[in-house]
Amino acid sequence: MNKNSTPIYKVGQIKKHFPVLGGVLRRTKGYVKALDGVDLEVFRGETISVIGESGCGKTTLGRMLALLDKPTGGELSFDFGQGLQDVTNLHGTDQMRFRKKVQMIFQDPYTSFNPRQRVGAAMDEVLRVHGVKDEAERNARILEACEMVNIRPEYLQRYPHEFSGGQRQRLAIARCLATKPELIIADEIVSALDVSIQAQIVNLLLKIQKETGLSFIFVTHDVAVARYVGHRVAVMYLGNVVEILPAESLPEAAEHPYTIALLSAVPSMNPNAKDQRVALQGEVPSPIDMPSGCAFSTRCPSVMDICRTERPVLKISNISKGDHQVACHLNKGAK
Amino acid sequence: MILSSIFAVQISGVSPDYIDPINGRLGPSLSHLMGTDQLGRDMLSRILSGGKQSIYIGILASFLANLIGTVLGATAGYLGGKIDAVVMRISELVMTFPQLILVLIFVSLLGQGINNVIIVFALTGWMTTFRLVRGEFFSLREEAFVEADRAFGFSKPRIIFRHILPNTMSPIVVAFTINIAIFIIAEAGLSFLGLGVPVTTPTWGNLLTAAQNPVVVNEYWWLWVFPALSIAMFVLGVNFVGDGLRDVLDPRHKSLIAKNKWKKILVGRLGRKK
Amino acid sequence: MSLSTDKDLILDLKNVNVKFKVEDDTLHILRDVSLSVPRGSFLCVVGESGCGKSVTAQAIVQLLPDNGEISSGNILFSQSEQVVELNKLEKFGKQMRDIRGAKIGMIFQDTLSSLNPAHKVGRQVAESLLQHLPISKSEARTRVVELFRKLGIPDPERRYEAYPHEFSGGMRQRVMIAIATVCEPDLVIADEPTTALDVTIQAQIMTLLKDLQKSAGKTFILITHNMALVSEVADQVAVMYLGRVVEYGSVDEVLRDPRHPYTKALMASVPTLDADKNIELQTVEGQTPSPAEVTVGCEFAGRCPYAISACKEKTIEMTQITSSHEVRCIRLDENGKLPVLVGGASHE
Repeated sequence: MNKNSTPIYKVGQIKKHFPVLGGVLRRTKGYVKALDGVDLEVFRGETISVIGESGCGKTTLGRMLALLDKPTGGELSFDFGQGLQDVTNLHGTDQMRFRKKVQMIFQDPYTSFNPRQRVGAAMDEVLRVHGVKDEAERNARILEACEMVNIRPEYLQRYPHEFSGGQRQRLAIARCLATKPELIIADEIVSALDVSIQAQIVNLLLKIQKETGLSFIFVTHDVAVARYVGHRVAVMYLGNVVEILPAESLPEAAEHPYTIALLSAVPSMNPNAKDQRVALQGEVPSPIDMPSGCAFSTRCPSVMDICRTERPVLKISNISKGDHQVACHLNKGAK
Repeated sequence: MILSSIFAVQISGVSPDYIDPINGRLGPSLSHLMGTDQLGRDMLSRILSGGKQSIYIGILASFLANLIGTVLGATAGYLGGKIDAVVMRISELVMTFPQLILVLIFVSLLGQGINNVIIVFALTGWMTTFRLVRGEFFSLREEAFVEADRAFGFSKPRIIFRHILPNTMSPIVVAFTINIAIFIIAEAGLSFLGLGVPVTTPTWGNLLTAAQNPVVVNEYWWLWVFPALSIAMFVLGVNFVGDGLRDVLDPRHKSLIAKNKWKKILVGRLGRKK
Repeated sequence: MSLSTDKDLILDLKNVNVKFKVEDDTLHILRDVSLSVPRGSFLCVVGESGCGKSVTAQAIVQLLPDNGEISSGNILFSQSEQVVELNKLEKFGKQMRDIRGAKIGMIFQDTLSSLNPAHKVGRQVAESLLQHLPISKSEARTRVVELFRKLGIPDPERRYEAYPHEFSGGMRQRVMIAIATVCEPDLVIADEPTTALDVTIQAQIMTLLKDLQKSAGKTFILITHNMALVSEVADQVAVMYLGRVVEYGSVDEVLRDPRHPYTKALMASVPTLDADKNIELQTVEGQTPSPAEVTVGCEFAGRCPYAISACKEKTIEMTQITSSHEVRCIRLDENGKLPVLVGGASHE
């Protein structure tokens, strides 16, 4: 990855606060801070995996990046080819321009297609809405996409319910590919599938990336798959990105206490892994009642006084330097 | 049944308006299968052509009411917020008026007559469909394929009418058939009271006005029993058709099973009616 | 090993077949399933969707859906010196109801729908106790609160009065475990209890279950699709495919030395934290067929890279590799190893 190049998508301090209304007059009692200042950069041709447990905000982030939801704070910038442009509040034709470049695949294969529409027609409609007027070209693109995901063209006549979960995900991928995007956001796309089908989809994604050079944002809760699929991995906790590091350096190079605990909790074939497990006490605090300072301070085994008062910022790691950022007071930052 | 009503005149061979006072008030006989009324008109053909009117009213009123309800329900359901609040308040307003009062008001404003009755029914009967469609839209708009449509940049009208609406057809169709039955009965009630279609054009409802007279009810039973039976049978038939239609419209239903069921329903109905 | 002769077994399934009636067809869902579960052990039944692992659990406690039945075979349960044939008992008869909940506990995956949202959780746990033991309500309450404490539910006195929706997923699962274990059953069957939970919570719950096994000598049957989880908690592993047990043995044998082509494929398709990113994940062609599609021969033959025509001809029997490790495959040589694949598929 050429680190000196500009990113294709830049996320700047994105916040998503949902007001909590209460009382007779329905005044704002507090906020659910689903995203509380997320920074991220995605480069061309890379896959960045976003991992975290429930409530960390990874799905909200994914939807925000696809402009399905508006952030309550912060900026999103996308590079259409002439440098980064602000896309946070796009409307109309500008928004359509964005949507041609950034696509999304959803978690549930059973509901992501209109049950009353044949899958071929669904794909055709997307292309028409995206302005591909020539029917022959639409057909060519659809066939090409289907070939890449290994779906036979005859099947395009069928309805969604005639396909298995794995096939539907492949169709969803094809539907995106036909629009020739530059970035695809995949939100837990393999979580609902059997492991052997997961493997098929994962292999497919890697093959697509090799052949097309697309960027992927791969949101998942499965740490091992995230490491396998991504070039880099971003770890989220309670609405913040706490660590970003090269996938290959996992698990040894993990520095943030939450990342370390998360990795150690993953069941492993290694007989020694259980003894090294960091047992996290308690549960994730409610996002309405966020602790002051670092969100992880209430459960962190290495908590210090400063953690409770000051929120740590993502800084380049002191230890591994390079392409590794940590948001932790233990990290003194690179010199 | 629908078909037989449309071709009423051809079937009976006698015009419903043919007045033959000498043969008045005859019970059912071979030449007049359902008897004659007080003016000697053949009851069978009156019922058949009356059916034509009633069915016409029922279907058209139901269609219009459903159209209004669906369009309003779809927009309110998908867009939510202020638009939804406004339309909901309107629907609640219309619903709180007892239907009879509303109908009386409209009839006095518009006068009697078949088309006016249809308009009145449509204007006072769209609320159930509205609620139904609105509810469906509330739940469907959270579905993943709707999100996907938004992610692809589909416009709101496209999403509402080409994607969500077809998935709500099943309850709409059922509502349509139920409403036909409701409006036919409503028309019967209205005409029975003399408020609906004037007696010059026979409908099942105003054929029943004959039963206002207790003498008729007891001695000339054929004057009201046959219209009442017709209404009942038609309503039943319509409900079965609605059930069948709902299954057929679902693409998930294996085509073969759907075809067989549809056949069974048609045969069942025809067998019964004959 | 057989329950009638070996006192060490708590549960013995012998050639159990389960059939489901769906519309006009009969589907053969469980095919000749035999499992011998030693007392105090931790057995994991592993497979993907459609393999019949949940149905096996349902069959043991006779909770099959209305259209399902055990068409043949025996399920023997050792209960305080006596051996009971579970499948012969009346589904909702007194004996079976006494066993269900009190002698065999069950933990389900979906806690939100398994717990009654209108009742306080304490009461739901106590209900199980009161049904099976002749104790007073206050005694039941005391025991339940104590159990909550042991299971790591904080503030147990207050939580006794709480409703299911007031708990997080992990806590609800602890409540399920409480219901399953409050009558101190000897055998606990858990059907995917942590699949919907975060990985850190999963670790906590699994530790809890293992503790119960060690401290209270309980036998566990865990149903899961997560191989790594199996490697951490299991003593024995049974791998199932389309209703048949295709490999069975100790966790070391099956996971570190899998012999059946399906087991091998399953292991190789899951990336581990130290997986080599340059090696493609192994996949199996196609997807699991429906039970109606495979009626003769090896269920996996249609997708197996080692399959030959003999595989599809008749039912395959188990081959004993070691005294505890058995594999259902005819392609194994005298050493119990599969042949080397040439060019991606085997040739006869």
